Amino acid sequence: MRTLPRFATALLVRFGPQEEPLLGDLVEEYAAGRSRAWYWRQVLAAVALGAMRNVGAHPARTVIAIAAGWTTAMLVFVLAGDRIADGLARWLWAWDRATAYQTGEWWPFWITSSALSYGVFALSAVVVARVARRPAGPVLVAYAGSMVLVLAASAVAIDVLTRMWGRVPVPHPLFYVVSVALPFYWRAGLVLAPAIVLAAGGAAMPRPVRP
Amino acid sequence: MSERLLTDFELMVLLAVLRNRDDAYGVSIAREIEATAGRSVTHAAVYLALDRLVEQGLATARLGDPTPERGGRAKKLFSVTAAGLRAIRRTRAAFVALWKGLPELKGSPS
Repeated sequence: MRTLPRFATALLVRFGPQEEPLLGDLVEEYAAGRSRAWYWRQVLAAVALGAMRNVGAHPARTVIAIAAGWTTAMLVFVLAGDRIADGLARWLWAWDRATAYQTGEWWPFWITSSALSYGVFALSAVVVARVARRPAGPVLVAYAGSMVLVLAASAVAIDVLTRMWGRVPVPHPLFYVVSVALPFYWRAGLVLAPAIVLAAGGAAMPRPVRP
Repeated sequence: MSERLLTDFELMVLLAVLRNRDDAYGVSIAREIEATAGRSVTHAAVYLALDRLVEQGLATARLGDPTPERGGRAKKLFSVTAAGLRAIRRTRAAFVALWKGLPELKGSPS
């Protein structure tokens, strides 16, 4: 029997619908000669449709879990964002904000602030995985989807506002959310943020029954 | 009991279930739709539609025996209920009624 694409199968088992016969169907079809691309397409569709179905079946539970994730992230950014990002930059590179305003040397803060953003996204995903009851996988996919939506919408909004009015002031707590989707971070957050959410949340979930 | 009309995909899935009779499961249903309708489908979409139809009493599901070629996983076998058959007939009647008297639709599809 051909070996299944491992990463795709792990994605399906952790984040897809808890439907053993579906995985059995994919195993049978792949063994019969379907391509890797076909298998990946089936897995991605199963994960996306599973998340949508779960949202429809348990809307309150999904909304509460997603709200818990965003609340966690925003609380950390509001209460400790600057302290953590500035403190790390000071500790690592003897950087301070007052000097940066004069010298324009912001790279240490950009590094620590993006590390903080991703770290807090990971922490919020752990909260979502804990708050969502089983199966937590589809809820995490919905949370990752909400993150892509928020990042993409804020990136577009900032692009439009910048074209209209030049520089746009972004409140600091929001900066930690949206900065990773901006051009000076190569908009990497649109891919990295959901990937980190799924990886951290997936690690915090109870182990699946069978790989 | 649901009295609504079926969507085109639900209709295809239920007809594929009927055509496969005692061996109607994800693989055979998806292959039937691909072969007869020339439409590529994902298995997840087939399960999603069938689960909805089962919830509405238009189809039933039972687990078969695990088999080695499926990595030891069971098939989920589906069948159409009497209510499902009525829904198929009702949907067909609605389509046929809409079809009648349209000169543009005369002749074979091409």
